[in-house]
Amino acid sequence: MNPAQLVSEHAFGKGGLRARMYQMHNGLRVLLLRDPAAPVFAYQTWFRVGSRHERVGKTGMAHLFEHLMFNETENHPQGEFDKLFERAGGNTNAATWVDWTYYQDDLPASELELAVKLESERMQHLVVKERPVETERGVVISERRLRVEDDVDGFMSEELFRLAFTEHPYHWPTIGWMRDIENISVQDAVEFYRTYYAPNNATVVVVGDIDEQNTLALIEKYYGHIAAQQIPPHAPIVEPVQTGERRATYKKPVMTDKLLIGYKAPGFSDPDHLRLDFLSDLLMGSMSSPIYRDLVIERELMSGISGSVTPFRDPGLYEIGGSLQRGHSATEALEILDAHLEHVRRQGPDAVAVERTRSRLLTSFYGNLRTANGKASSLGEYETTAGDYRVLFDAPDEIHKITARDLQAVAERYLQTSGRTVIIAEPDESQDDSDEDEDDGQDGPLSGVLH
Amino acid sequence: MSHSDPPSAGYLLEENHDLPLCRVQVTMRSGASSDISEEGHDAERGTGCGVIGATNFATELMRRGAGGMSRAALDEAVDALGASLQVLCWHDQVVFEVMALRENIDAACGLLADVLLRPEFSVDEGERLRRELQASLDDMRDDDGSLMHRFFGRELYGNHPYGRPVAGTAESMEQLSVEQARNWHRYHLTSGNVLFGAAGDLTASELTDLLGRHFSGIPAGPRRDAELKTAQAPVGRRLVIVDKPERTQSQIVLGHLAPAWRSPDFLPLYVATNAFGGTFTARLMDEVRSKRGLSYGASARLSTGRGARALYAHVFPSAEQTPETLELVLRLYEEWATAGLRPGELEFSRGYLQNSHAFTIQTPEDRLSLRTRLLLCNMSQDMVHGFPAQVGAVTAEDVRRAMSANLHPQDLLITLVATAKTILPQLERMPALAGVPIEVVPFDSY
Repeated sequence: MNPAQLVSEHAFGKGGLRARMYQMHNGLRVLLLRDPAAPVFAYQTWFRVGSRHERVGKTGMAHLFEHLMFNETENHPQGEFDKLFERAGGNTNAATWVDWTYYQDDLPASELELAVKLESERMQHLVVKERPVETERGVVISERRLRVEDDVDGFMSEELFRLAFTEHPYHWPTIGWMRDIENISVQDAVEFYRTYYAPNNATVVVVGDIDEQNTLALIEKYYGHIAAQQIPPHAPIVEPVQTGERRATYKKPVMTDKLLIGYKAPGFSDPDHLRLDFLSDLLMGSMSSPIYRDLVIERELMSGISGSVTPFRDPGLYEIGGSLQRGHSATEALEILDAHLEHVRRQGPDAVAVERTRSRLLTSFYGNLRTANGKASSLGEYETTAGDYRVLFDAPDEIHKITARDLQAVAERYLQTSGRTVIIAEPDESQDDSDEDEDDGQDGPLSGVLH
Repeated sequence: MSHSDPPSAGYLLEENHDLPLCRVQVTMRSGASSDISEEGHDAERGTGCGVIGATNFATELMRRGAGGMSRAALDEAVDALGASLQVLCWHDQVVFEVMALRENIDAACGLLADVLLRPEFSVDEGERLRRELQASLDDMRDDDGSLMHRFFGRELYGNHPYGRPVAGTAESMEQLSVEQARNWHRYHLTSGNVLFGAAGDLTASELTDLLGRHFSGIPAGPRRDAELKTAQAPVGRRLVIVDKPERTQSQIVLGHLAPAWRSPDFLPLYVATNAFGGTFTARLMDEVRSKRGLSYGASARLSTGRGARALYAHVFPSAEQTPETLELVLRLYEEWATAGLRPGELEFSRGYLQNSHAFTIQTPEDRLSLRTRLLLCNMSQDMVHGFPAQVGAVTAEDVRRAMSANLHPQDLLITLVATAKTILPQLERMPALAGVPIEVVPFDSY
C-alpha cells in the first residue's frame, strides 16, 4: 500500500502548532493538527456533497441520508455506532448544508482508533433498509416542523432562497420540501450512498491531543483499502442576473413585523466575500455600528438587526434580518436601511469605523478557534468550500489589508436594490377567526441542518 | 497549559497562551432570584429589589453609560478595542465580562471597571431600556421553546424566585425605575459579593496587576446571596396548554422539583437522569426517536443551581402524534421512576459521564465557568478535576435511594405549547390524563 503523501502544511497560531494535509492513494485527504491543550480530539469527515447535488423531486436527500449514516453497518447492528462512542465518553453529530455534509466525533484522546475504525466502517459498509428510512423520515419531518413550519424565521429564510434563486440548487432548502421528504425511497438512499460516499470525495480532519504519525498510520490501516469511485461531474449552474427586486409578504402568528432581505453576494472563495462580511459587521455588527445604532437604539424601530454573508461555494446571499418594535412596520425600517446603504455606496464608510471593525473581527476570528472542534470545523469548511484550508490562516492578514475604498466598492457592487429579495412577515390579526394555513407547501430552512 | 490558583488568592485563573485572547469576569453573587426577597417588599427598601426584573434592569443599565461616557461613547470605546463587554444576568448570579485581544485587555478592563464602579444610570437610558425589554418579550414569544420554559417555570416554582422570569413580566417592567437601579447597585456591589476570574493569555502576576489597578475601588461589604428556600412542590398531576395559533407540533415539557446541586442525592440522580434521557442512546431518545421517529429530540435534564431546581423531560412531536408521544413519555417516566435503571444502564451512564468530563473542562473558559459556578453554589472545587472519580463512586444503591426519594410520577407538571383547539380534544380522550386538570393559557399572557 502506498503511504499517504504530505501535500502541504501551515503554522497555526503562535504556540508552535502546525496543520498538515496528506493525500492517500485512493484520493482521501487527511488534515491533521496536533493541539495538546486538552486531552481530547475532534474527528471530522467532510464529504463534498450537499443539497446542491440533489435534483428536483428529491430535495432533502443529502440531509435524510446524513441521518441514515447513524444506523446499521455490516459489522455493527442498529444503535451500536452511537453506543460505542458514548461508552467512550464521546459525542457524535453531523450537519448538512448546500455544499457539504460532515460528521463529527469528539472523543477523549485515548479513543482515536475507535473513531477511525467506525468512520471508515460507515464510509464503506452502511446497510440501508426500509425500516430505518421510515423512522428517519419521521424524525426529519419533526425537525422540519421545528425549524420551518413552527419557526417564522426558518420559514422566512426558506422563502428568501426560494425566491432569490430560480435556476441554481440554492433555490431549495437543505432539509428538503416536505413532499419530497415524504417520497424519498430506499433505492434513492442506496444510490446516493454509492455515488457520493467515497474516499476521493472526502476530507478527514483530526485536531487535538493526537500523535500525528500514529493517526496517519491508523487512517491508512482502516481507509487504505477503500476504492475510489467515479464522482459524477456537476456542471456549474450560473444563476441568471437578477434585474429587479423580488418581494413577498406573509401573515404569521407573530407579535410584530419581521424583515429579511437577501442581496446577491459573492462565493466563499471570492476576495469580495470577506470584504462584504467586513462591511456587514461595520454596519450592524455591534451596538456602535451605524445601522444598528440608528434603527435599534436611536429610533427604536427594531428590537435587533444583523447581517451575514452565506459561506457558499457559489455566489449566495448577503442576508439582513430583524424584528420590528410595536407600532412600526417593516417597510418603514426598509426605507431607513436603504438610506444608510445608499450613503455607504456614495461616500464609503467612516475610517474610524473601519479600524474598530478590524479589531472586532480579529478578536472574533480567534474566538472561534478555541476548541478542538472549533478548529476542525473551520479547517474543514475552508478546505471543502474554499478548496484550501490554508485560506483560513490568511484571514487575519486579509482583514488587516481591507480599506474603506474596498468596502465602498463592494457596497456599490452588491448592495443594489435590483439584486435583492425582501421577505416580510406581519402579524395575522385574523388568526383567532380562521383555520387557513398561510403556508404554500414549500418548506425548509437553508442553513446547516444538524443530525 | 493550565494554571489554577485557589480562590483564596482572590481570583480564579485558567491560563492558555496558544491564542492571543483574554477573558476577564467579575461575577456578582446576587442574581435575579434576589429580585423579591422572602420577607416581602418592606424589607427591600434600599436594596433596589422588590420588582421582578430589578436585577436584570439595574445591571443592564450599568452597561448603558459609565465612567462619564454616554451609552454611545461607551459602545464606541469597547468597539475601538475590538472587545466585547457583556452583562449576563441569571437567577443565581450576574456576570460582567470583557473579552479582548491580549494587547487590549488592560484598556478593556478599564471599561469594565467603569461599568461596575461608575455607571451613569441615565434616566433616558432607563426609559429606553424598559421599552427594549418589552420588545424582547415580543421576540421571545416567537420562539416556542422559550415560551415552553417560561410557562413551565412559572407553574413549577410558583412564587419562588426561580418562578419569576429574569427580565420580568410586561407588568413588572412598567415598575422598574432608575432610582431603584441605583439602590440595587449601591447595596449589591460589595467586595464580599463579587468573584474575579480570568481565562486565556494572561499570567497570574498580570491578572493580579490588572485587578489591583482597576477594581480596588469596590466598596467593602458582605455577600448578598441570601439562602434560597426550596419551592413548594406542586401536588398531583397537572397539564397546562400554552395556546398559540397555527402550531404543527407540540413543545412538551414534563417534570417536577429535584434536589439541589449540592445535595448528596444530586449526583446519583444525575447518573440516573443521564441514563434516562441524557444521551443519544438513552432510553428516552431510543424509544421516542430511534424506534418510532416521533420527535427530532427527546431528552431529560436535571438542572443545577444554588437552590433546588427541576428534573424534566422534553419532546416535540407533531400535533397529530402528540397524544401517542405524551402517552409514551409518561409510561417511560413511570417505568423509570418505579422500576429503576435497567441492567447495564448504570455502568453505561457512569462511564459516559466519567469519560465525557474532559469536554466539560476542555477550554480555559469552560474551566473558569465551572469553577465560578461551584464557588457560587458553595461547593468544593474538587469537582473540576475529581468529577470522574465522584461519578465512579456512585453505587447502584445510591441511585436506587436517590430515585426513590426524588422521583414523583404522580406529581408531574406537564406544559405544552400547542394550538389548543387542535390539541385539547385529543388530550381529553387520553386515558393517562383521566382526571388530570387541564388549563389553557394564551401564549402572550405572561
